Amino acid sequence: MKQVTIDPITRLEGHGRIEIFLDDNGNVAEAYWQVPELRGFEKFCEERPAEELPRITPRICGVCPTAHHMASGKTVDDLFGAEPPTSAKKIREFVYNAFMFEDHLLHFFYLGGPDFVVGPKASKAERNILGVLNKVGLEIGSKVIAIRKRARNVIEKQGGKVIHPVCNLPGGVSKPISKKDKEEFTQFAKDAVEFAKFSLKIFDDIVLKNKEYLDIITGDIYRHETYYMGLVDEKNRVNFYDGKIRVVSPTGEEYAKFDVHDYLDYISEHVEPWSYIKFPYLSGIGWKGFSDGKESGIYRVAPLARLNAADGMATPLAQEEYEKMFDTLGKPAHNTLAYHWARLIETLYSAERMLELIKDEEIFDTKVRNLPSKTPSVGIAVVEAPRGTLIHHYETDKKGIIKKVNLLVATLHNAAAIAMSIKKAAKMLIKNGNVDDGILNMVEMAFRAYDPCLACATHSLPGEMPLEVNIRDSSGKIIKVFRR
Amino acid sequence: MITEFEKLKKWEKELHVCIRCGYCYEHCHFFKLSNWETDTPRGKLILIYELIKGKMKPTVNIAEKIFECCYCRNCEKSCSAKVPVTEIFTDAKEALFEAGFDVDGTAAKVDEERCSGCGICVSVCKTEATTLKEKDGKRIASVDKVKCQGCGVCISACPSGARTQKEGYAISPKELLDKVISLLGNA
Repeated sequence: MKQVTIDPITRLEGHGRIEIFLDDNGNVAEAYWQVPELRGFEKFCEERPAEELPRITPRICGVCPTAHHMASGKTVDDLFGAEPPTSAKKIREFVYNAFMFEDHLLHFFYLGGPDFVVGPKASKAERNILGVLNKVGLEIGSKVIAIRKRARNVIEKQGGKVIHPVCNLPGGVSKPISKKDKEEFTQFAKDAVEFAKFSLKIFDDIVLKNKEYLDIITGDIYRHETYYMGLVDEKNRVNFYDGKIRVVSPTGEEYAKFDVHDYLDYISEHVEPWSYIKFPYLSGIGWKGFSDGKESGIYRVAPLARLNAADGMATPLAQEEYEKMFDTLGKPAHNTLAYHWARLIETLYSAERMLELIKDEEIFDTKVRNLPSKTPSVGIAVVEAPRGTLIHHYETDKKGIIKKVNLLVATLHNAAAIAMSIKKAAKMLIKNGNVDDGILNMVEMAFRAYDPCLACATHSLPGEMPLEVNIRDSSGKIIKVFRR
Repeated sequence: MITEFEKLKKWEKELHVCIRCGYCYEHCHFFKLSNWETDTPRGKLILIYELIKGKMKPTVNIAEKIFECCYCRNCEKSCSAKVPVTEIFTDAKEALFEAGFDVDGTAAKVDEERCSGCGICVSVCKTEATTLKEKDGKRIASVDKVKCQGCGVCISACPSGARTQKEGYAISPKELLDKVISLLGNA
C-alpha cells in the first residue's frame, strides 16, 4: 500500500496535513485530513478576570481576531447582564462588517482565489497571490490591496488596533464614532460596495463564464448533501453579528432554530483517534460516520451554509446576487466550491450593511456603554465568523474569575465535512497511482473552499509552512518526494 | 495637592510603556486575595497615571491600594515591558503620604507601649525604614511607611512583640500560623 502525505497543506490559516493511502492498484483506499496542532487556549483562560477575555481570546488567531473579539465581547455582556446601548451594537456591527469584508477578500484573492483565477492545475509557482496579480493585472491587484488597507484602517480607528482589536467592553464599546470620521467611513463603505460588485464581476468573468470551471463547481467531486447552519435575523436573513442559529436539512427545510444558550442541546462532539480536532454533529440526528445525507448529523457552516440556512440577504444588491446563485445551483446548494461564490455575495452584503449603518444617525450617539449590574455566573454568545458560526461560553465564580471556557470555533463545525470532502476528492481524482502536483492541489481545493482556520480550531498557533508530499511503498520506504 | 503628584511625572513614560497585558497580576498575592483589578499592579499603575493626569482625586481608598504591596517583585519579573513597577509604587506612596494620606497598608506598625527601644528591628531592616526616636524621654522604634516594604522580618525579630502588621492580607504571623494549622489539620 502506498501512502501520500501532504504536510503541511497550504493557503489556509493554521497547520494541517492530508494522508492518502493507495491500494495495490493505485486507487485511494482511505484519506485523512489531520490536524496535528494541540489546543490549549481554553485552559489558560482559567483563573483570569472575565473582562480580560475579549482581549485574550482574539490572540487565538491573527487572521480573524475581530471575530473572537466580537464573540467574546458579546459573551461578557451576557455574563455581566449588561445589554449594550443601540449605538454600541451598531458600532460593533459596523466594525465587524468591515472585518468580514476584508477577511473574505483575503480569502478570495490570496488563499482560495488562485485556484480559479490562475487555474487549479497551474504551476505551483503561479498558484498564489503573485500569480493572481499577474492574471488580473497590477492595477486591479493594487485596488485589492488598497481597499483591504482602508477596511483595516477603519477597524484600527474604531477598534483601537487592527490585529487583536480592543474596543469591546462588557456592556458596550470604548468610544463612540466621531462625527469627523463620518465622511471617511461613509466614503469607504461606498467604495467597498463598488469593490464587492467588481469582485463578483471578476468571479463571473473568470469562473462562471468558463465552462470548465463551472463544471468543476457543479460536478460531483466537490459535492456533499449535508445540514447547514447559520445565524439569521428575525426575518430569517443572514446576519453576522446577532440573531438565532438556524439549521436547515439537506432538502432545505428548517430543521431547528434556537437561541445560542441552548446550543448544547443541539450540538455534540465526536472524537477520532487520528486528529486533535473534534467533530461536532447534530445531537438530534446522531453521528453516523463520515457520510452525508439526511440521516447523518454532519452539518456545515460558513458562507455557503449561511446562505443555505437563510431565506435571503438583508441588503438589496446582495439579495440579487443571492437569487442569481441559487437560480444557477438550486437551493440548498451542495457544491463545496460554491463557498467561493457565497463568500463574495457576503462580501457585498457586508459592504452594503456598513453603508446602511453609517447612514444611521443613531450610530453617532455618544452613549456607548451600560455598566454591568449582574453578579456573573454564565455567559454564552454567538457571532458568524468569516469561517462559520463562532460560539463563546464562559463560566465564572461570583467575582467574575473564569472557571471554565468553551470555544466552539467556526472551523470545528466544518471539520467533519472537510474530512469527508478531502476523502471524496482524493478518491475521485487519484486513479491507478497517478499523482502529480496538479491533482494534489485539486485535493487541497476541497478543504480550501471552506477557508479553514486550524489555528482557531485547535486554539494554537501555526509553525512554518513548507509543503512536502511523500509517496511511500508498502514497506514505508519513500519512493518519491514532492516539495513546494 | 497638585505638586506632590507632579513629582510622579518622571514616571509618565514608563506608565505609557505599560501595555496593560496583565502578566503582572498572574503572580500577584494581593490580586489573588481580592480579585479586584485595583489590587493588581496594572490597576495600581492606572490609578497612579490618573492621579498624575489629574483625572482622579486622591482618596483614602486609593492610598490604601497603593500602600498594599509586599515588594515580592513578581510583577516586575514578569513584566513584558520591563516597567519598574515597585519603584513607581514607592514614589507614589511618598507623594500620597506628603499629600496627607497616612494609611497603614502593609507597613509594619509599632506598639509604643511594648517597644523597649532595643533597636533589633533597626539592625534587621533591609530598607532602612526603621529608626529609633526619642519620645517622652524613652527610645522607641519608628517606621517610615514609605520606605517600609512590609517584609515582616522586624515582626519576627522583635523580642517584645511590639511589631505588628495590618491583618487581612494573609501574611501576618497569626494568619500564617492559622494557615499552617489548618493544613496540618487537613493532613
